[in-house]
Amino acid sequence: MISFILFILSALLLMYEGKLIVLILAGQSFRKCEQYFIGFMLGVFVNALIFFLCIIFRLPINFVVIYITHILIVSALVFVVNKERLWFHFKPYGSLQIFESGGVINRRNILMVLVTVSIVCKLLFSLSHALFVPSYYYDTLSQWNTRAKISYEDRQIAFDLTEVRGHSKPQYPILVHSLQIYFNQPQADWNDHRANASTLLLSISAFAAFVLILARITSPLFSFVCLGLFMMIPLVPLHLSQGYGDIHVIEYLLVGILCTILYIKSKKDYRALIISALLVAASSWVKMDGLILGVIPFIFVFSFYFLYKCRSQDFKQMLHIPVIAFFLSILWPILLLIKGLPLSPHPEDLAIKLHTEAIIPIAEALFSYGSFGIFWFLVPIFIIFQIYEFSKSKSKCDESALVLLFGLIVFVESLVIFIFTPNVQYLLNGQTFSRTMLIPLFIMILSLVLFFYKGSSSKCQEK
Amino acid sequence: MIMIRIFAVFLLALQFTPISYAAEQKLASELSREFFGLEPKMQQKNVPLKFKAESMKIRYSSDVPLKFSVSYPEDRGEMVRINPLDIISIYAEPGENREINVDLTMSPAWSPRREEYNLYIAGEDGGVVSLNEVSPKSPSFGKTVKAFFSHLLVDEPKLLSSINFFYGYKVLGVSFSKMLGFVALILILSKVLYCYLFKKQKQLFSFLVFASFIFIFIYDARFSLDMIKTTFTDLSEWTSVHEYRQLGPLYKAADYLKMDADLDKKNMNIAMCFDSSDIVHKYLRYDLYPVPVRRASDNWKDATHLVSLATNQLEEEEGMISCGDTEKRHAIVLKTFSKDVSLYRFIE
Repeated sequence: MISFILFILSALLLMYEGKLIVLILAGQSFRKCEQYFIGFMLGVFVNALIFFLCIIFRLPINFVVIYITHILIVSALVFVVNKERLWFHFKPYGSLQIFESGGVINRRNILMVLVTVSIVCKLLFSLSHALFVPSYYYDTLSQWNTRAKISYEDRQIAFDLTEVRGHSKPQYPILVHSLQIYFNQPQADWNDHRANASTLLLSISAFAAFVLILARITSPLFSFVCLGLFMMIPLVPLHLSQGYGDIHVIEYLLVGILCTILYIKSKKDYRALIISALLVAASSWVKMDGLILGVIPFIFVFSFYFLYKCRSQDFKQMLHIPVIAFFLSILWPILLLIKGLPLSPHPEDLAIKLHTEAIIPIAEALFSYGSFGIFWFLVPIFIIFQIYEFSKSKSKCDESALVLLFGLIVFVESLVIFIFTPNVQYLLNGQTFSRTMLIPLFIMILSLVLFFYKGSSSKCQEK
Repeated sequence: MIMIRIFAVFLLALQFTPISYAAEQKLASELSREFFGLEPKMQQKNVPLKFKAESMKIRYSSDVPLKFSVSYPEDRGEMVRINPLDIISIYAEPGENREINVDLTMSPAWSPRREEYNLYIAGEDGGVVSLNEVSPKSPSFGKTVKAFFSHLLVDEPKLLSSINFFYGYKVLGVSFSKMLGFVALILILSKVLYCYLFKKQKQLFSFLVFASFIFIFIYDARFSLDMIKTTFTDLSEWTSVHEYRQLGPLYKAADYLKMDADLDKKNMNIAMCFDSSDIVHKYLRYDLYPVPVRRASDNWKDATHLVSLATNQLEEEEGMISCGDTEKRHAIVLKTFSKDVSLYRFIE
């Protein structure tokens, strides 16, 4: 019981800390519950940065250092919030028109029931496998939980290059490890379930934030169905229970993208974009994939949009958003270089060559195997439809087009990684390809949901 | 030297009536969640078969128990691929002129069009085995329909690699996602064509969403059922016997070692003797950290304990044990678990 209470208190501390950051940066852009869920995600990121500072200043990672630092940050934030309250004058961003039923959505209740049943099945699996059964998968037992446990016992982040103690990839960024250590810190011993529960809590918080913000951008129904679609991707429930970090990269990216859309929709508080930059940068602290498949496309799409849409004066104001995202995401690679460690555990990654043997396994992984169900059959069809509709419409640069562009960049990047570099081996042995392809799939589904919402709401208006 | 001698393949039936019995047939994917126990050393012979069949009768004579397995090779141009999860196996009793019936439709790799199978016959060293007759039964429509539905009920195997990818369901030798995906594609594209040809594009938007949801829900219904089954199987296995999937009794062994570590905190050093994948090593290393856990070849001389996991490398003689090429050391058995998992403590 005491262990449970300590877990909850630790979670509340992170959540409150992040909530204060959201409040200071863009409080009026988000509703209260959104502030808490995004707050938890940001609190986890701040925690990773504290661990990063511990590495830099060679401070021991223990309860006193970590929790005192968090408490000091919270105190400082409370002080700033009290001062800031005077500045706030923006009205909360109002919700969009709730989706009116019509056409397919007449079957709204059936749809809701089916989606709910599906989500409950997956949640049951994820909760039970995070909280009751032991860690099981290869990398969980080496690069993730093991590295976190070694660091917890040693009171410093482990940077082993050989697998003698259990982990061998010091390049992995530390957001997940620091989260697991943080929740184990106030307790007497390392607990495997606690470690997995902490990452599940991050996922729940991220998806809650996602659903709430998307419900405002579209409608509660579209938002809920979008969550349902994510949960219907067969690989997802496994990753929620004892993931390899991939799902957290996705979560940070999705909420980051939604914050940008929220700004585009409201055109009011550009400080919401700073939250976006922080979240996207945080994805690169989960895995290096976040830098290559998250931060870089974000900077590209963001710059493209604001160059296209903004006046030069606004653009100057916007310029610091990609700078923040980029600066925060390269801190970890810089530390690796300073420590003399290679940036990738596979130094041969840059040997570019066309691997034709990759084509058939890619098709098999996307269409024949069971990792994605039938999503890769349907998503491309809808994207073609979406592009066709864009080509007909007058405003070609709406938010679903931006998200689609993001998704397509990530998709192409992922294919290039597996077709043109020695990473082809991880496609052929099935190790990473399907996990990586979750990132573009999630983003493309989000883009389609935004697109269909737009289509259905304009239809409703016509009626 | 060939230890099993298969005297004749497709020999004429012997004069007396064969003894027919129903042996239990198992599909590899259904056994895949079990701990990799110690397999007895067996010699194996492969007999390629070419015919279309829904089942086959095998008549054999053997003085040792046999394991018959059937695999479903897929011709991939330059190479032939066999998915080990699709293999079916039958344990057969020794005897003269015995007969077993193999239901080939049990594996989701089966289809009525399939013409190639591999039959493996495995038995103990030195056994004398003769395969007298293999007679196929042609596929029927009824059996094909039955197979379609029974294949749909074959669960996704829960493997250590499942976090990376799922093999997916297979029906009559074809991937279920591919089958469903193509049906969805054809339906959607036909409707798109119809709407554009007859200028009824207003219906298209609703139809696309509706049809897609139907197909997504069909796949998801099957997968959700699997998730629920797995949740209850995993939880009941863990709460009742404290074992979990392919790591079996390893957790119990780890708990026992932790208890021993509490009694003897100083200098505990664990060696592991195992043949299987190194996931067992990864798990113990994680669970017992900071106690060092190494392969026996790396810390044999310094080890205080040994964990032996379903291995043929362990040799035990008069209180002395060795693992592979290591020297013999005095040790006592601390605890023995199911499925050939044992803990030893060195006493010198």
